[in-house]
Amino acid sequence: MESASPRRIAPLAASNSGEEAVVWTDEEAAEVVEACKSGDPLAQRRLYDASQKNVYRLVVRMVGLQDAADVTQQVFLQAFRKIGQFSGRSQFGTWIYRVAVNESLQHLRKVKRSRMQLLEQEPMDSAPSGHASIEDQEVLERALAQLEPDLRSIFLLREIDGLSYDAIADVLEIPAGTVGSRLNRARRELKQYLTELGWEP
Amino acid sequence: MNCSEIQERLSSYHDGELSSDVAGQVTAHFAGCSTCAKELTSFEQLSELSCQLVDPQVPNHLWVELQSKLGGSTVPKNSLPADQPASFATASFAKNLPISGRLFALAATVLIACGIGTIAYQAWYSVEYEHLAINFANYLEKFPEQPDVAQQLLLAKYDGQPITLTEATKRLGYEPLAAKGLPPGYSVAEVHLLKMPCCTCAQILCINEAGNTVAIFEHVVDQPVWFGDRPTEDCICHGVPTSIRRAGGRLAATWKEGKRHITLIGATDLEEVAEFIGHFKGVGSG
Ligand SMILES: [Zn+2]
Repeated sequence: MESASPRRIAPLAASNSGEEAVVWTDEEAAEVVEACKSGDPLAQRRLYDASQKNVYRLVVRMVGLQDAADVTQQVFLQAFRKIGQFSGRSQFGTWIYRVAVNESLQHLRKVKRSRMQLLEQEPMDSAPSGHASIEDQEVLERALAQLEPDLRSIFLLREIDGLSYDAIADVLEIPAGTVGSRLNRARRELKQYLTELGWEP
Repeated sequence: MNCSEIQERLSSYHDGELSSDVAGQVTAHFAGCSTCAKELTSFEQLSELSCQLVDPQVPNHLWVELQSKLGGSTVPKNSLPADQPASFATASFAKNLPISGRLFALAATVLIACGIGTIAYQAWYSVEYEHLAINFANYLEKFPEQPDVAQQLLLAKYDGQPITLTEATKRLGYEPLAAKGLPPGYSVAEVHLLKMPCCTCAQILCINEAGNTVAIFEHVVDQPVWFGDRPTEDCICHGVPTSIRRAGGRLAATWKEGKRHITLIGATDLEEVAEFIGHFKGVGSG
């Protein structure tokens, strides 16, 4: 088991070969974004390096491991394509999360039908009532997969990425006042699924 | 505030998004209301649980593919080293391997980027394999330190049944390689059949004279997803193409012997891997 890394990672953390995260200053971020706007490949690479971990982590849990690489690529393609529209009003870190959530949701809508057919064919095998050996991480991954995508994204942004309510509102383009109540729903439903999967705290 | 007003603010309270004034009122309510206090505890437990999620590793091939989609410009030479071309990653990995290249001629063209197991996925919806990958990641990490614990978790998950080699042969329809003898100094400690999503698979735990345990998995379906996105070293050992990953301070190796796919987990070094490959070579072709 890998040691639990600290979860509260700044939205724009440079992951230099997976080592200690480095946070850009606003000036650095602005500089890189500007260079990306003119298609500078080195800047694109820096942007990718700085945000790939956060994007991939979110996308994996939104769309599943199977499609995560494709969707992550799509996120960056969109981001580079649309970077001209990035106003600088929000943090770049927030903006790339928005692209990631939107691409994930779009992907899920696209595959929904075929996926549901597959799920029907697949009996939920070992929903182990009272079976304590199933590990916490796996139970949570399963329960998360059952959560509807909108609630899943808000839960992940809060619990895994540690975003503030303002940042979440910005990412999801929802009123800041509704973040709390949505998180309430997400947490209650998730707890319900966890209990059904036999999870006991 | 009444209970429903508290319940509405529960997440905001838990996440520290309330003003200290309102937060104080909520705290006061918990003292006299076990229902709301319990709900808060469950939110706290959820947060603790979420902390245990392990970050997935970003596949190495992602940038390379992305780049080609961006229009085929080349990677800047002096860019950050996170995703060097495969040969670089391989070279550095090889440098750290505990043995010279005498036994292992490194293939010049290596595949490091295809760890996700696309082949396996084509046939199967991802959920089962995702869990397999997670379970195996745990198994690989735990095995060197606590082979017993790792083993128990795996057996619980895949309905592992203790079995004799003779009985395993009957059930599988082929004789596990280990039934024909292990390398000198090793003995069979335990044999199990595991019901994996891919197939039923024989697992043989072997122990050597030093008390070191290694696990051998034999199965008939290629199963790269076991290792998820772990960096992979592809090499030739005793003329046999072999994939090697580092896991939990030990080595895990997969190769093909006859029609079987063999996975060795818990090897101390390449010499130990080579010993098994050499020992089994040709045994499975019958
Ligand atoms: Zn109450």
